[in-house]
Parts: sequence; structure tokens; C-alpha cells
Amino acid sequence: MKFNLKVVRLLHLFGYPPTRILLAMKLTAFFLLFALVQVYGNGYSQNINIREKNQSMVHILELIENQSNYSFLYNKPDLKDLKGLSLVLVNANIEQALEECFKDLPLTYKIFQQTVVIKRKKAVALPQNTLPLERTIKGKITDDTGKPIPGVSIKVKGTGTGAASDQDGNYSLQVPDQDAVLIFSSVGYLTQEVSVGSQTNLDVQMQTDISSLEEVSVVVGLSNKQTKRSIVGAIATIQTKELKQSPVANLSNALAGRLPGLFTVQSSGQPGADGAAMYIRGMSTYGPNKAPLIVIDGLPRSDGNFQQMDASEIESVTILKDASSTALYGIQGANGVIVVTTKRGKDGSPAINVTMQNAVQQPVRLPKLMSSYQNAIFQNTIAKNDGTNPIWTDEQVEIFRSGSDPYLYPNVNWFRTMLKDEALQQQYNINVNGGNQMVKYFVSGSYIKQGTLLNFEDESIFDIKNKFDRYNFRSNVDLKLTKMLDVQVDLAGRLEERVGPGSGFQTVFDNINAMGTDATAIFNPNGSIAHGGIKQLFNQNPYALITRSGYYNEYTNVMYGTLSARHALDIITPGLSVQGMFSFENNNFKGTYRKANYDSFWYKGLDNNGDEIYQQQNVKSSLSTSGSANITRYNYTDFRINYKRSWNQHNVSAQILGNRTFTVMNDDLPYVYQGVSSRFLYNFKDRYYAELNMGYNGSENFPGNKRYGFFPAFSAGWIISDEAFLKSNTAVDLLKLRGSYGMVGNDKIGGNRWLYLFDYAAGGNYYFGTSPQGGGGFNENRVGNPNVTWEKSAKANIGVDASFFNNSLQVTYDVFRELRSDILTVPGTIPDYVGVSNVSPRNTGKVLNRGMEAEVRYRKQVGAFEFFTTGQVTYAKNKILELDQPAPRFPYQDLRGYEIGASLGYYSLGYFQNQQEIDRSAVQNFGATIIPGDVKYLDLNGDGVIDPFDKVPIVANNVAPFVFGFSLGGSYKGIDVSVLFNGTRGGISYIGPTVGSVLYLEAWTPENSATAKTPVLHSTSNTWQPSNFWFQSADYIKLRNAEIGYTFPKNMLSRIKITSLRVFANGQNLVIWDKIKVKDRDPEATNGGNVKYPIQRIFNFGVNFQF
Amino acid sequence: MKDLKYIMMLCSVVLLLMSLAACKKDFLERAPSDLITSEEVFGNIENAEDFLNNAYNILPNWFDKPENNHVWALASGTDEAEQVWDADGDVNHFNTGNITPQYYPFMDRYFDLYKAIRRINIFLENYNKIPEEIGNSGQQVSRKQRLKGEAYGLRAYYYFELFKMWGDVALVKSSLDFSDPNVNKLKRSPVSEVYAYVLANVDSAVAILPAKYNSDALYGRMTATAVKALAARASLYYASKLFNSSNEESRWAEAAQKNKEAINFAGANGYVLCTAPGSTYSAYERVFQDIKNEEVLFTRFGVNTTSYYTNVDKITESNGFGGDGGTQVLQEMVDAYEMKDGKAINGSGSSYNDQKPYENRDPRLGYSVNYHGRLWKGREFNMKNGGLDRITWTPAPNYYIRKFLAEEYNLFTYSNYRYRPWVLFRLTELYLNYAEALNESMAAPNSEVYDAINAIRKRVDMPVLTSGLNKDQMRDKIRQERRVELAFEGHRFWDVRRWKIAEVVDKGAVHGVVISDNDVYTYPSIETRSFNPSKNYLLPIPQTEMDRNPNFIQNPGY
Repeated sequence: MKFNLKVVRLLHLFGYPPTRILLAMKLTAFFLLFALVQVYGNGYSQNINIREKNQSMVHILELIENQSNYSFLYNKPDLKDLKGLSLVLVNANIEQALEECFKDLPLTYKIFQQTVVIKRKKAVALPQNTLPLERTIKGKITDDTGKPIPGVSIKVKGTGTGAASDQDGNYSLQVPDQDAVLIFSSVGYLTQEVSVGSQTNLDVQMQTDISSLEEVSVVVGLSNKQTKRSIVGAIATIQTKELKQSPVANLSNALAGRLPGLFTVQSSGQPGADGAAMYIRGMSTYGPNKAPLIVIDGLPRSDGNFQQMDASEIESVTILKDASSTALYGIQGANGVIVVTTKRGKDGSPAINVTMQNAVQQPVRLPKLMSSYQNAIFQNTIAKNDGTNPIWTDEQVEIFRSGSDPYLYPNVNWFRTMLKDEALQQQYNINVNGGNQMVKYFVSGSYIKQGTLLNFEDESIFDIKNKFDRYNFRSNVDLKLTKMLDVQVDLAGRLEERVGPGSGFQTVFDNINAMGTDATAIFNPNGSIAHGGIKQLFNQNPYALITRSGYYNEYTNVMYGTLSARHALDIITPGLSVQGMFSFENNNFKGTYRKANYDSFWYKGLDNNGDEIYQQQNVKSSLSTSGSANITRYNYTDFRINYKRSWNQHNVSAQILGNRTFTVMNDDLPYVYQGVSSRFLYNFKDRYYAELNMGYNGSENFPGNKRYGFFPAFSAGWIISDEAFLKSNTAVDLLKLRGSYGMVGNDKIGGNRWLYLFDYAAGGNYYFGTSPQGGGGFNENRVGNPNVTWEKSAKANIGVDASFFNNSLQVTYDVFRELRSDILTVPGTIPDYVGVSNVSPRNTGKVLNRGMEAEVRYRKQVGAFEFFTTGQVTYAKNKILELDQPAPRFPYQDLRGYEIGASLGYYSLGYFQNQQEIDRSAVQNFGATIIPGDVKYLDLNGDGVIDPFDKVPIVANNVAPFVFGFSLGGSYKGIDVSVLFNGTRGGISYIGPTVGSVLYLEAWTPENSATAKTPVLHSTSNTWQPSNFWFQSADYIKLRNAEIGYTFPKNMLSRIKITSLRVFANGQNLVIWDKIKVKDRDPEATNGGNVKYPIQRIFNFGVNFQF
Repeated sequence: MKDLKYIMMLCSVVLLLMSLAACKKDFLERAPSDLITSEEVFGNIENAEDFLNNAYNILPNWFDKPENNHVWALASGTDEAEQVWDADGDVNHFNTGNITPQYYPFMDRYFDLYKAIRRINIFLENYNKIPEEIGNSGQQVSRKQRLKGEAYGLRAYYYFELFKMWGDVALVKSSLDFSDPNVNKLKRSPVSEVYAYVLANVDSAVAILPAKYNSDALYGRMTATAVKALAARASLYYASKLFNSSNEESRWAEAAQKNKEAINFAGANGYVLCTAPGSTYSAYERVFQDIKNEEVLFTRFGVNTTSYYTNVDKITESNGFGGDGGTQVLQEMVDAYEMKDGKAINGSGSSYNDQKPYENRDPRLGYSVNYHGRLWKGREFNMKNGGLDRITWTPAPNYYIRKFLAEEYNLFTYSNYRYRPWVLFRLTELYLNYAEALNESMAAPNSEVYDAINAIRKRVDMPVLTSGLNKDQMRDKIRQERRVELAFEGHRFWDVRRWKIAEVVDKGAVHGVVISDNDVYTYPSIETRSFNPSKNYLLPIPQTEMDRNPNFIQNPGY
């Protein structure tokens, strides 16, 4: 390995980790680096003195290098088998030295700037062929964005003939005949075989190989890259290409079904607030923070920074699942880590990439409501079953049916009327990347605008359009300041604006939810805002809330940047470097709320004179203004020492890192972290791997003696396929066994700070005096827990990676087990008569989480047709082991042993089918008398009465234990198609009917007793007891994403100076298959009765071009 | 040369790191330095007073559950009223008998009372740290002394509340250390001990506190009069059947004596029955409308504030007047008011006409209940079908509460709001207590019993009791008078329990009124109530509390 040292050092200059390059020594790939910009002058006079006998070529080259400004670039095998070299040079310049050195060798050399590239002489390679069809094939090789790829190896299948592409991607070689097949291969790209036929010009576009286990490197945390082959932890990655297939504003919604081990649950579609909750490997704690840590370019960032990122800025998203990859984050890593890597500049002239997209958003589903006529019959049926007088007379029911009096007897479907069928979304991105030996840059700007579904915007008296707007900017610059010093300067910013009605979306939807079709008309006969039907008043008229309640603007401005410098210290010992990083973030939020009330009138029909009677309900007010502001300032500093070296077949790398984080949020005392992380990686023969990852860090939130925690993780891997017994097996390309075990922590304890302190606080009040005056109060505030500490997680993982048949089939399988202990839990064993409240939580909870993940990828190319499919499944199931509660009176009410989210409720036995059944069963005393068709509950303790002692743990949890994803796609001559399905299984949701839901049309009656969907129409709280009666399976399969695209052929584009052009159409949340009883909402957004802002289906059309 | 350059660079990096590390001794030491310690609270009499003030918040009010957001009145849990809005809701548990250790209305009052007791215990334990107020002489009692008296008075009140609801309870006399494992092993002390502790606290308070405050700013604070009234009420409960199953007459005698003492003490300090009508309100109504009334011994703040959950007007007024119509009066309550001539409506010779049911009735009916045709805020109540005040969505009694409400308050515009405190103790109750205790303690009622009741009746122009009643007849009269006089004030619910008559009055059908278009009055049943005498007289100890303490024995039946 020593032998390649110079190359390694050279390659370091370009930010490529040596391992990657060593595996793929393609010299020509780097010609490009030097040809583009004339940076280094060559006016050095060199004095080279050498006096060596019978030395290796490499040794000689090192000597020359040490005495000159020149580096050597060569392919390792080229220098093999050379006989010993003797050389004497006195005060020679570089040309002389080289000439002398190479004169008798089968090598040629060429000088580019300060680099000498050495190659074997061609003459050795090419056999002569005299057949008449032999000819020269020329062509250009480009990547999928149209950039030329230098250094691609081209071989004529079945012969020794070969060539490589030059810095412009051009190649030429001799082929023997028409039947010749060319094999194009290059690191990071899929190998292609192309028949020559009669062509003499053959352009090839290489496809990025995103899944190559051998070569692609992955960022594993703290911005360390590792080849996939060498990774022994449990991680999963996706690239920008897949992210960009989802036309979503919030990045968290682009991940569903793509990363094994990741659970996502989207519960709202409100623009600007539609992020999905993310859980890595399900939930392992019932504590307040179950969310993974977000790390962007090596630094922990807030969730919003991830969710509101533009997909075009991102190179890859990786999730770190087990202890080996998360231990570095110590007390922040227990819930897993999401690592985002942004794009960086590549060598080459500026490549300008433009994407423009326009989309239509539609609610996937809306509640289905009874008409007001059906509603009137429904209400009368309730009254009949309750034994009270009908609510509506037959005449009134008839008015509802005929719709003859739409003011007193309205029929308004508020969901349908207040929401538009569709809203528009526009997205634009322009990014430029390029660079040279000294500077590389990636610069990107994006804009997204999302309209909302709220109707009647045009009628807003404030002339306001509800929307979500976002601008993203990013500039990533890499500087090579000296041969040994690399500097990165990254700046990113984001501007968001949210505009909504003064009452807020929540209130609008709450009111829409609360209204049956008969609630009120929108307007009164005189055009004023209506406020009730013939019988009842209603709280707020959603139309007025949208158009007259004022408006709000919320601005979020985020700016963050990182300055990082890395200095090689090979001078001290080869492979050593130091690196420092400083980052800041400023997050400013300002909300301005202008609210107003509006005039509304309850229309009550005509009086004796025929005049309309109105009772005023709301009174108009002018706009009142209030505001809120939040500021977060964050900075991060670290210093690290890296070491990487190989001896014989021992490869070692290590990193020690010290860091500090300092965050100020509004007026809070600073939140700070400080710690040391270290990584020690070792492998033997690239076959046996061992890693030790350690975090030792602490946060300000714990008492002095409990502040720092030590979190070690050990992991190991074995590439079985490299062993002799498998090496010869052509079907198996890779078989790797890996395992890890370690400790990680979770210090997010729900915003409560200083739990170890005892103090008093001002608060409360009581009024005294004949003109009552409050004097303020004091309370016992914190009753501290001096032993408070973070959650601890012991994670174990065993996994297998395998690939077969030329890497066309890849399989990954992991099983894991996590024991989360010390979960902060409010003590449940302190008797009430102690009278103490605010007792700080104790670290008493324990949860066990177990599961597995499997992923299969298959990829095949047949001629011009390329096909891939991916399937993945994750299973995670947790169990509460301890939660600081006394043993209940009846052991069956103990929540220990059940899942997170379990609570006590009655066990439903369905409906009472007849009076005899009621008489025979236990007494259910929840209000009104039970009648046939009411819900029957299990009398668990058999005491003849249903009371809370009959409750058992029931679990409603919309984070399902099973999630799976399945994708399929192909491409043929520029056309590409892909689909992604994902789904969950085993999730249970509480789904109550919305007000006036059509579900009530299928209420229990003696006739439909077998198929009824709700209990008999009857006003009784019996129906609404906490029970599993309203639990429904939240299982679903979604056609989450589909895309079709066409890439125009190069020859069409070259004339208009465009390197590539692709048009595409894609969609999100296209089809849903699920089991919920009434398809009135997205199965993901199910917990609860109300329907929030519906989740959206998106149809998107776009164009991407590069020049 | 090159080497030197690198060594210099390296040195500077190391120096930089060292200087970073030296910045602060412990970078993670960020805890607030402005913690308010026990010394700061009790080292300042202002703060100490504020700390104790919060103990007042748990005083009962209209809902008997003041700090929780519930819109029902305790009256709806007994034969006074019905919860109409959210009819199946919380208070209805009392009417269905659905009371279990796992859930019942105001279960959390158990914890709330003990929280207040802990506060008082902490206050008294730190009492010596409190400095005397400097200056401000000429007070009836020093501020520091007064606070101590208030603490004792409140502790007495809260232990009375505890035994009233749960019977035997844990007697916690100091702030307990929850980390001590023995804290989970306390036993429930018998009511006799709890009662004795109430009296002991009363004595401590009376020894310190003035009978009433000269300063209006101190109005609403515990006084010797209030504490004596508390002892009087507690003694009456302690003598009642629920806690005195063997009917020890000595307890009744003690109750009579304590009530007499309280009446005399109040009288000596200027408290008299309110007999003078105001400009808008009658004398009886004034008791609940005045901020400070001559017969009111103790009030709590906040039953009628503009906060939704404590706004009696909003909760009880009909929709037609902008309220929620949440609590409505039962026909049973309306029927309890006598005729103007002192006869019961179903008594012999009664002039009661069930088609003109509100004519010639005890004036307190009109003061306390809004019924069909009654004038209010400028219009007559209309309970007919389609009438503004008729609730249609659920069976409803069709009577609204009038007592406590401010007629000038406009709920549509929220204008003309007027603050009214909630009456906790008034002289009239002591009269009723005294009459009851005295009657029970002797073979036949004496003139003092008559005098006490008649004084109350005279104030509202009702005829005096006919003489010659025997003990049982007198008991019925006293209970009748108590029910009517103290209607909706939070007494009846507990009275029917201590008398152990809930199994009769809180069981079976309850009624309302329906008035047809042609003015025909009918009185349908609106609900059937149930009450289980084998368990419901006391509330169950919350199950979580039972689970935490193996030595606790649950009240019978739960």
C-alpha cells in the first residue's frame, strides 16, 4: 500500500477519500482536473539530485517528488514487474530527470501542470487485426446529466483490446468486426454492454450506480465517508434522484417506503405544516422525544432544517439505525440519526441545472356527509329511539328534502364548499456546480409556492391569498488553499412565509368538522353572514372565518453556515490530519396576527308583516394586531484529528473529535452540549472489520455529577465472500455478516429543564377584598430529582449484506433489539395525600423494542432496456417493561407488557342484538338506558356490571409495526418509468365518525344487524366510552409515487447548446387501498374523530435541463 | 523551513484549543442562578402571604370543584337541578350511580385538598422564618399572626371537606417526604380523629383571628367568625346519621352548642339577617348580589367572574338570553316551595293549581327560579314549544336558575357585568343548623327551635311555623326550610347524604314541565335516577390511591 502513497496524497487534494480511489485507479479520470484552469505556474527551477542503485520505480518517483513540485499519477499494475532501476542525476531539471528515468522502461509519461502521469506504452497492448471489417469506433461518454466522464474503461468483449475515455469523455478504439460488443465500465457507474453493429460513432450515457456495494461511499456520521463494503453498522441511504421523484414541499414526505427501518406518519396536509413524524425502527420510548436526530453535513440541526430543505440541494439521505453508527452522537443518538449530505462542486466548467415544476394538489379524501334531508331523518330516528318527541315534523323533513327553504332548512356540505377541488404548487430550482483544482462550488437557489385548498380567497375582504412560500439558497464551496489545507465554506438560507386566515386553519377545520349539512346556510336572504338554521345556532361560519376573520403572516428566516478546514499532517506521520469546524445558525420567526370579528345574523324566518327577522350573533370589529417572535441562535464548534493508514493488509483509521454546541432560544438560558467522540476502524485484508465508536458527552440539563455519559459501541464485519471457499463462486459477489452492540443516549426530556433543582416560583393568585384584588402567589415549583439523567439505550444488531449475479441482486437483512432504560417517568407511586405536585420525573421507565428489516434490490439490463425493482419491509414492536406505576388492583389492568400507546378501555363485543341479550348481560350504566343495537362491553370480572374495573389495556397506535415499500421501474431509450408503493400493517387507529357522517346511514337496525357500521341511533354516552369499538385497522397500501420521464437524445440538444433535457410527470399519494369503514380520510391521518387539513394528492409536471 | 512552518501552525492550533478550553471552567454549568428558594419565599412576609393565598383557591364554589373546567353545578347531582347541556356528562354519574373508584366527578378534589394541606403544612413549618411586618401598626392583629390564623382555619376547612366526602382519611399533619418508603403505609384515620383535628385547628385559628376585618382589603380572608361557623357546620355533620350511626345524642348537643356559640359570636360582632331590600333586589336576593352582605360570614372569590368556567350567568342562562342553559331546575325543587300561606302544595287545603303553578307561592321561588312567564331582563320567559327559552335537543325541566344571576348583565354583548362572590357561610345556615341540632338533641322542639326557623321565614314574609310540632314533624319542617332557603348553594347534595335520605330523594323519576301552545301544563318525567345506599353515601377513595397504599381499606361497596 505504501507504494501508492503519492497518489493517495494527490487524490486527497480533490476531497476524495483514498479508499474509494484506490479501488478504482483510473488515471485519465483526472486529466480533466488540470486541463481546465491555468492556476499553477510552472516557472520553478528544479534541481534534482539522485544517486540510486537497483531501486524500485516507486522509490525513485518518491525521490523525484520530494525534490520537485511534481506529483506522480499512475496505475499500480503498470509499475509491477519492472526490474530494479539505477539512476544518477545531478542538478537535473524535471524533464531531464524524467527522460533519464523512463528511457528504458515500457512506460510513457506526460506532464500536466505539476503532475506527471505515467502509463504503459500502448505497443504492448494492442494486437494487430487484419480483418477487413476492423475499424475505429469513436464516441463520447457522458453521465446521466450529460457531463463527460473521463477515464471510462472500454473493452472489446472477448479480446484484450481496450481504451479509456479522455478528459472530454471522448474515446476511440479499434474493433475487429461488426459483431463486436463494447463493455463500458467506470467507478460509480453501471457497466454497459453495447453492440457495435455498423456504427463508427457510438455515444454512451453511463448510468449512476447508486447501489454498488463495492464502490459507493456513504456518509456515516460526523461527515465521515465509508465505502458501503466496509460498513458494519445498520444504515440505509437514498440519493437525490429518488428524493426528487416526490413532488412534495416537505422533505419528510419523500422518504416513505424508501428507507428500510424508517416509519413515517403524515397527519396533516396543511401547506407549510405537513411534515411527517419520523421514527427510526419504530418507537423505543414513551418519553416525549421519539424523533431521530437530524444531522446536516455533519452537524446536528433542528428538524425544520431537514423538512424544509430542497431536494435538489441534497446528495443523499442516510439513516443510522444501530449503536455503531449512532454512538458518536452519544446522548443525542438513541432515536437514530438522519444524516443529510448536500451536494458539492465537481471539477469542470460550470454546469447549470434548471428544474421547473408545476403541480396540482387535491385532497386525497374528504368526509362524506349526509344531506340535510338524511340528517333530519337521522335526528328523528335518534329521538324515536330515545323515546322523545321527533325533532322535525314531517313537513319540515319535506322542506329539507325539497330544498325549498335553503335559509332556514339549509343543505350545505361544508367540506365540499369551503375547500377547492385543487390548489396549485410551483417549484423552481437552479443550481450550478463546477470548479477546478483550487475551488469547487455548488450553488443552488429554489423557490416553492404552495396554494391552499381554502375556497373563497377571492372574497376575502382583506385581499389576502393563503399560501406557503419558501426560498432556499445554498452555496457550498471547497477551497484548496495549499497542498495540505482544504477549506469548506458552506452557507445556506431559507425564507418561509405562511399566510392564513386570521382564525387559523385549525379553527376553520374545527368548525367545518362541527357542522352537519343542516347547520346553517352560508348567507342569509339579505346577503349577510348566516349563523344558524331553523333550530340551532352555530359557533362560527367557516365562510366568514376564511374571508372575514383577518389574516396572519408568519415569516421564518433561517441562515446557517459552516466553515471547516482540514489540514494534512503527513509531515508528522503519514495519514494524519486535523480538522476544525465552526457552524452557526440563526433562526428567526415572526408571526403577525391580524384578527377581526364579523357581523353575523341568525335568520329566523318572517314575522307577521312578512319582514325577515334577524338576531345578531357576532358583531364586527376592526382588525386587532398581535404578534409573536421566536429566535434561535445556534453555534457549533469542533476539532478533530483523523488518522488513516495501511500496513501490508492492515488498514486502520481513527478519528477523535471534540465538540461544543451552544444554542440560545428566545429568553431561555443557553442549551449547551460538549463532548468527545471517537472512532477506531480496523480491517484486515478488507475482509475482517472491527469498529469501536464512542461518544462521551454531556448537556447542561443534568446535575453536575450526572452531566457526562459514556456511550461505546462495538461492531464487527466479515466479508465471507472473500474467503477461499466462496471466492470462486461466480454467483455470489458479496456476502457480508455484520453485528454491533452498544449504548446510546437520549437527553431530550420534553422541554423540562433543570429537573434536578428544587425551588419556588411565582404563580397562581387569589382575590381578596370588597373590590377584589389579586396579589399574586407563590408555589412550590420544582420538586427536583437530584439523580435525573438521560435515557439509555442498549442496541444490538445483526445483519447480512449479500449481492449476487454481478451485483444485479442485492439483499440486506437486519435483526435488532433495543432495550431503552431510564426513561424519564412521572412517578405514579407517590400517594396523593402527600399532596406534592410537580415532582420531577424519575429515570424509571423501560421499554424493549425488537424487530427486523429486509431489503431486496434487483436490477437488470437487457440491451437498451433497463429494469429495477426494490422491496423492503420493516417490523418493529415495542413493549413497556416498567413505567413507575403501582401494581393495579386487578393485574389485567397492568400496562406493563403492552405497547407504547396502550391505555385502559372497555373491550367491545359488538352490538346488543335484542332486548333478551341486554337483560341477560351485565348492566351498562353509562347514561341513557341501553337498547338493542347499542355497544356491548365485556364484563371482564364477571360482577354483572360494566365499570372501570372491566377495562383492559387497548392499543391504538398509528405507527404500525409493519411498514413496507416496493418500487419498480425501467428505462428504455430515454424513457424512464417508476412506481413506488408503500404500506403499513398492524396499525390500529381510533376513528370516530365526523359530525353528520354518512356512516350513520349504516347504523344498526334489526334488519342490518350483521353489517351495521355504527351503533343504533341513540343518544347515549354508552357509545363513546373508551373502548376498542371505534378502533379500526389503519393498514394501507398507497401508490405513493409514480414517475414517467423522457430524456431527449443528445444529438438533438447539442445544436441548442443544452447538455441534457428531461421532461417528466410524477405524482404523490396517487391511490390508496385501505380498510377503514368510510373512506373519508387518509388512513395515515386517522387518530381522532376530526378531519384536519386533508392530506394531498399531487400531480406534478416538470422539466429539467442542463447547459 | 517547511517543517518549521508546520510546527508553528500546529502550535497555534493547540494554543487556540487550549484557550477555548480555558474559557469557562465548566461549559455545561448553566443552571439558573435566580432560583427562588424557601428562604426567599418565607424570608419576606409579602411572599409568604402570597404562598398561603394560593391555598384559598381550593375553597368550594358553585361547582364544588373550582379549579377544574366543568360547567356543571353540584345541584344537578341531587334533587335540585338537572344538567342539560352535556346531559350525559360528568355530574350525571351521581344520577346514574356510576360511581367507581376509577372515576367519578370531582375525584381529583381528593388530591387538590391534600395539595392545599401540604401548602399549609409547609407554611406553618416555615412560619418561624417569616419576619414580622415593620411599621403598619394599628392592625387588629399583626400580619404574621393573621397568616398563621388563616392557615389553621383553612386546614380545618379542608379536613372537614375530606371527611365530608370520604369519611376516614389519612391525617397528614406535616409535609411528608415522598421518598420515604413508609409514606406509602399510612392508614386512614377514623372520622372521630379527623373531626377532633378540625376542632383543634379551629381553636388555634380562633385564638388568633379577629371576628371581622376593619380593612375592606382583607375581606374574604379567614376570620374567627368564619372558623366558628365552620366548626358549627362540622359538628352538625359529625352528629348526623352518616357519621353517627348509633345516634349519640351528645354529638347533637355539641352541635347545638357550637352553632349557638357561632350565632352568638357573629351576632356580637355585628352580623345580622339581611332584611332590608335594596333598590333592585329584595333582602333575600341581596345576600347573593352584594359583594359584602350583613348576614354573610364567609365568601370565596370567583364563582362569578367573566371566566367562562366560573360564570354562572353564562352557564345557566337560557339560550334566549345568550346563555348555555346548562343547569336547569327540577320540578321537584319547584314543588318544594310552599304556598304563600305556608301550606305545602300538596298539603290539605292547599290552593295550589297545577295549571297556574306559580301563583301564590313562597316568594323565594320567584327569587331563585326563572319559570315560564317570569319577567327577566325586560321580557317574559317563554318555555313553550318554539319559545326562545325552550331547549329541544334533550329532555329538559324547563326551569332556569335565577338565584345569583345579575339581571342587568347582557350576555350577548357581555356588558353590565357585575362581580358577585360565592357565599360559603351565612348566618341563616347557622340558624338552620342550630334548629336541626337542637331538635335532634331533645325530645320535642323548644321555642328556640321555632325562633330560629321563624326568623328565616319572616324575612321573606312567610308565615311562622304552626306550633305544637313533634320532633319528627319539626325535623321535616327544618329540612324543608333548609332545602328552600339554601337552594342551589351547594348544601343539599351533602345534606341528603348525611341524613341518609338520598336513597329516597335521589332515586327514581325526576320531572320537568311542558307547556303546550294552549297553555296546558304537564309534568313529564325527564330522567330516572338511581342511588345505591349500600355504597353511595360516601365517595370511594380513588383507585390509584388504593393501589399505592396497601394499608388503605376502601369504603364499603366499591
